[in-house]
Amino acid sequence: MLSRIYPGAEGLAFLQGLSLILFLLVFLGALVMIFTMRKGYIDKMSNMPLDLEDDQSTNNGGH
Amino acid sequence: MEMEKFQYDNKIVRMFFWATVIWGITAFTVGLTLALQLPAPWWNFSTSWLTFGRLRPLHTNAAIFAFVGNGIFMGYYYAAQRLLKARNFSDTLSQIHFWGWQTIILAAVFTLPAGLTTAKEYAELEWPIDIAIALIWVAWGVNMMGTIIKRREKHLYVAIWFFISTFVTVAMLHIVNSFEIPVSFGKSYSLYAGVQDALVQWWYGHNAVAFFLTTPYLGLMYYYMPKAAQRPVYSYRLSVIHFWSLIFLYIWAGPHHLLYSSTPDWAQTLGTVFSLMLIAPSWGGMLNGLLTLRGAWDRVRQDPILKFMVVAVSSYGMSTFEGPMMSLKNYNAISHFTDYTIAHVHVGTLGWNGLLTFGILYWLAPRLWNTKLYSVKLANVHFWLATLGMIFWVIPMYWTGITQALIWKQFDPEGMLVYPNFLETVLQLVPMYWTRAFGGTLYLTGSLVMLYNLIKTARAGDPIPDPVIEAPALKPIVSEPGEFKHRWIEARPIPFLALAFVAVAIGGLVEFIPMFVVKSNIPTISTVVPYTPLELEGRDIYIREGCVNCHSQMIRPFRSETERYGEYSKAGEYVYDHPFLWGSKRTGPDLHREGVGKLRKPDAWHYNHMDNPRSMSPGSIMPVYPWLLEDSNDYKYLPKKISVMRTLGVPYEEGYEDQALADLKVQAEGIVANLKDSGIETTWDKEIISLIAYLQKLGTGILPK
Repeated sequence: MLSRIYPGAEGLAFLQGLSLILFLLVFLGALVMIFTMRKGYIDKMSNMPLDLEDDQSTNNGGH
Repeated sequence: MEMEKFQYDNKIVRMFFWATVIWGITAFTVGLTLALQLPAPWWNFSTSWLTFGRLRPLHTNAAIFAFVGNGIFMGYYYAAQRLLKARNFSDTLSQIHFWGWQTIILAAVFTLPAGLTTAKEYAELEWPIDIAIALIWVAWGVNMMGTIIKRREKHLYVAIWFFISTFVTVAMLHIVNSFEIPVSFGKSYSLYAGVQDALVQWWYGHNAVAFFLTTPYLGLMYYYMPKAAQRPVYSYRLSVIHFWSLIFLYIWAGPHHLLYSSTPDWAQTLGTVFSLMLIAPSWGGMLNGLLTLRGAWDRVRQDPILKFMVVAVSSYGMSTFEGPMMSLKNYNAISHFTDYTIAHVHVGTLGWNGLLTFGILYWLAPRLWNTKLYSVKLANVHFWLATLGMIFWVIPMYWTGITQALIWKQFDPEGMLVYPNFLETVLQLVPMYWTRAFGGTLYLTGSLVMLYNLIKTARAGDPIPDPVIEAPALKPIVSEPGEFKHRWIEARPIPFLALAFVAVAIGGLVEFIPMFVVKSNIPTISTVVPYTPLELEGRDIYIREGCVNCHSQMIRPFRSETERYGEYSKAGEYVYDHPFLWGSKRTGPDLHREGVGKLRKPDAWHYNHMDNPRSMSPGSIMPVYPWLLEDSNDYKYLPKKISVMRTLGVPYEEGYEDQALADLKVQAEGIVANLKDSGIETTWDKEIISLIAYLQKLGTGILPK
């Protein structure tokens, strides 16, 4: 039924393949990034919210 | 090591703090009002500006842009200064940002109930406010990027990436979707028409969810969950994958809002594929948040802040699993246009955004006023009221959605619809609408308890002076030997922003370019002609009253729909629709073939129905519109409307502006005469006349001339 509604639009199916290839490239790039990160860097970044001065100067919350 | 002294700006955090609380309660109150209007339509007191169609956009805008928006800025201003070890780039910009944003919200509060709307979901505000939004958004972006540039911390924590992507993507979405040509100060027409307008709108609408309700809140999650749990984020590596995959994938998924519609099949499939893929990064983020609590689960039992955060992140997981499921065509055939979608959306907003915001508010209050939280017990009460409220809200709506879909599609053994009258299907749902209103009452009550608790906390303490902080100055950024590119890129904000922009822009371009340049996407239909001046004016009243919030104009190619409404909708029928009015929810029936065949009704039926829907459809839950029968239209903007439409490509003849009013009057007098035959006395200039003309036009484009 849809092919009756959109005659001539079937040629655009390549977009689905193209989009998946683009995503694969982004994903592989991100994978390479994370597996080449050094442990020291990872530890520093993971702890970044915790070792801030604001808790020393303002943290006396009562919860 | 050279140390620098500086102060954080806590005042701006406190300002956004209270704005979040106040607008949150406002959004919930309007939501409860709407929830009550469905089972009890008299709840609008026959007042035009309290009708469901006008208030619904106010509710969604208040929830998204006022409550969540202020929540984003509150969380951002506190977290970013600390993560970047720098005061905001400009206090003046911070103040402009705050007061500008509140002014925009106030403008929405006045204009939306007044019926000034573009009719595009979550983008209803008219063009002057659109411009203000763009300017204020850029003010925030400049302030953010300036702060990042003058920071004292070399590396940008993942929360900052999410804020950057939010800024750049929302700016792009808002600007592209808001292209419109003004008719007057309070009225404009979308640059796009029909199918193209739908694609652009849902590219925006879907990504408003993605980049306003999700990415900034993931930024907040990555900062405040570790703070509240006093544990580092579970996996920083996962957060990197989470970020890049999420922002790349999200932007493609918009067409899943248009499944089985008149948009091209390739665009629908693209939306489905990417929606399914979204499960992976979304659940990666959810698990990263929950696993951050490893070793701290014992504290979840006592600490209401952690409780709020756990349920918030779980709600995120639920809604990001359900979203891709709803993008499957077989699933969507049931869920779309029903309350199922409304339930899905509210798991996200009430659960993910609402509860995370409450958790952050409770975490921030003692720190901003240098005291203890007034009452942990009351915070626990709020948690249970909010959680139970959410459950009482969403479960009946899931039930309602499935019920609606099934009874719409039910055939008897002879192949006839069991419920041919749409109203019969609505009446089955009324008890569940009451249950939803009860859930909303609980949720609102919880937020009032929070307001009391926070006011008492603030009164017990003092606004802390901006703390003086010492940190080493940032040295020029030099890549270390062997340092990989990601560390290079995340230490340089402008290239990072550009890369994030490329990642989000690709999806939009791949979808838009073929849609706009390939003619065969929207086959024209020779019998489809532009609206007459009277129909055009009637369409504007349909837009003003927010009819699109309850009535779709999109008949899907299912037998249950063609049997009920008539021929399925074609792309070529919408080529003159600026904006498109397909809708996303059927509280009332689809109206796309309202003027055709068995659905066509006499003019007098529409007249009486708008005056009091229950006079024509006993039991109807539609609001009354008596002012349409009383108010006159002077049609002073008609020539300008014709001129703007021609600019947009609608083939009105050159100079038709001068003839339009005369043609309008002739057509209006015809309807007046019809009404007189039915014993109704009225005049040609009443608003109801033009609305009747528009309703009678619907669906006639495919009839042979």
